[in-house]
Amino acid sequence: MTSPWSASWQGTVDKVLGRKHSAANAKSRIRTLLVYDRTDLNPTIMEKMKDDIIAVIGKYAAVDVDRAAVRMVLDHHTQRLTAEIPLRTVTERAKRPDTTPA
Amino acid sequence: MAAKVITVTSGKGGVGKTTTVANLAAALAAEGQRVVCIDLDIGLRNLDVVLGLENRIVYDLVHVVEGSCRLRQAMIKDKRVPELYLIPAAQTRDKSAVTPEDMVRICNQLRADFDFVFLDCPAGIEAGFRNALAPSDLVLVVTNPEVAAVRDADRIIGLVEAEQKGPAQLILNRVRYAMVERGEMLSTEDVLDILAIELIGVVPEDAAVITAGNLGSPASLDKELLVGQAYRDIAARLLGRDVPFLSLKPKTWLEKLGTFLNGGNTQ
Repeated sequence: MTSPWSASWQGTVDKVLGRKHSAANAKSRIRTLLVYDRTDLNPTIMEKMKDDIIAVIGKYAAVDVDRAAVRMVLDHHTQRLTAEIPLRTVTERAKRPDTTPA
Repeated sequence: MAAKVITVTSGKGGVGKTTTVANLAAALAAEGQRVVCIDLDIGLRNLDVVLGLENRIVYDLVHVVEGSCRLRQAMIKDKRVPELYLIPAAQTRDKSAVTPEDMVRICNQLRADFDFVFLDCPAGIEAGFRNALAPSDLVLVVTNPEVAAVRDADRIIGLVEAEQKGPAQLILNRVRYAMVERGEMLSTEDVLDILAIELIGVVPEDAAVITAGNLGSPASLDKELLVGQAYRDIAARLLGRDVPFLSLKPKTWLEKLGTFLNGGNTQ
């Protein structure tokens, strides 16, 4: 049985050492869960949506597919979809062959 | 004065809805409020047992709905506090025996003569939840600091808002101070950050709740218990009093000694 005194001491030690405990894990799992619960989406649909977004943008510009990311952000009761689509510049494309889907 | 109808719900089962209803109702009645609690878990009633009134049931909610008894006849009076009544759920019927309209009608009948009507909602988001939500003036969502309970609470909060019965308020139940300190349990701040809802109370996990359940006597009637104090504080907030949130840190032996030497006066 741990006394509350040693518990808070342990908490301080963990904070100083930057140790992560299961509560942090629980919190991030809930955040991910709720994003999908609240929007009725799932990781498979998200992946498909990402491909579609890249395809649309790819019609007009060269997308750096490997670094593209589409994610859901949970901001209290507001859900936001953020898409980060890096574009490849003309010089980059000259150095590296084009990988953008046609 | 018209009663406030308070729905206690959670989505997930086993987080402490019935215990919460029993404790808040008893605490308010101990303060001289006139309180009725209604068990809406048709087929799986529990509130009668938690309040220790199971041996005195003659009529139940379904009898009232069907008109086979008067409302007053189904109300069991608790003898420990001045004005606390229970309308038990039927044990041998299914949820379809009661409709949301029935609940609105029954609660309206009770409003004139009471200060608080508590509706103990069954787990889930089906018929029983709809029945408990229809007449509600205030929804209290009970959750525990764990993944499944918080997830279900979020769903319930969304449904309450969709039914225009929000904003709901949160009771975080079964918090273990030492585990939160060690980072092994979600803190109140973590849960509020995720659910973005107003907090009305934090209740520590306490073996005394089990003992109280064995005796059929709500912990909120025991002035010695921290968990009882947590419930009494929520009751006070329901009465519109501005009560600071209590520290769930258990007392050290030195503090306990101090309280003892002070003649048991915790102030």
